[in-house]
Amino acid sequence: MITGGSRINGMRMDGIEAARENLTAKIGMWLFILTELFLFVVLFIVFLSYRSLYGEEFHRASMGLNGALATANTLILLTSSFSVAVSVAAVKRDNRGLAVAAVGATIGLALLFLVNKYMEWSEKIAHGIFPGSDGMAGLDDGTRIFYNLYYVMTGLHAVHVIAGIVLLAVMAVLILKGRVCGAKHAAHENTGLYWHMVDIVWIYLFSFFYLVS
Amino acid sequence: MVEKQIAGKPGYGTYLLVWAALVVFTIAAATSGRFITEGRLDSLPLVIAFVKTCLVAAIFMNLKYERGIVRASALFALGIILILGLLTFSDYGYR
Repeated sequence: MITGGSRINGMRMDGIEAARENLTAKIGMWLFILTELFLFVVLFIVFLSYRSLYGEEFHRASMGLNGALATANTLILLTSSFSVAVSVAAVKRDNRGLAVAAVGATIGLALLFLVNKYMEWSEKIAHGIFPGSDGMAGLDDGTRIFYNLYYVMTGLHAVHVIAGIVLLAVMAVLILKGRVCGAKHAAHENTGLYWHMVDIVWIYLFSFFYLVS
Repeated sequence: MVEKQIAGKPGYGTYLLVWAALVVFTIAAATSGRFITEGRLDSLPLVIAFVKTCLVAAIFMNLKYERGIVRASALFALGIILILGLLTFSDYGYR
């Protein structure tokens, strides 16, 4: 019988509970990631379908995007994935200082990503290329579809980045308060998984919109 | 190695190595994708993207170090996405 002593076979019950929580939370997170990836996969399938119809127009429109800025953004997100992985490892090792610093670096990189994205969008908007604009109406069908997908998919991704920033900020507070620590790290580990998913989605957005000709 | 691995988890040095590999792959994809305009190498950036995904999933997302039901859940999720992607690409490739 388990009583207030909270020990069974030499293990503390709160430790067992925490391990169980970590496990179930992680499984739930992977299923959540599956649904999120479905959202983007459907859009990628739409992209490929139209690309097979308007290959030439998609190629020309792709060459009109700012590849240098997108490459910089890819490097920024990959670095943020590295920093969030370091923060998760630091939390597991109860290294609170490093964990918070790494989360702070991740948030900074995420904000830099959004600033670059804002600059990229501004460049296109300044040329009158945005959904519903007269500039878009004057484009051929293929180019218009390309830019519509570009705004929808990169915009949806940016929303995920913003959600990630909020989650990371919450994690930083929880780590500082000691409510996320080595024994109870599921919330932060799942935030890390979410952030890596955002990174993976961008890897494909970068390839489809900026690289594949 | 900056720090020894704990309980089978990768150390910070492993993360650093993977990050460096990801940077190299990104630069390779960015430079190749802009210049290869036709032929089979057209899909090289996508192959590189897949390799980068595997690195992120295996090391940063710790899949390589997970066991049991967590690994099964993750592989189930990624496997379904992979099957969807392969079906789409095989269809796309024959158009």
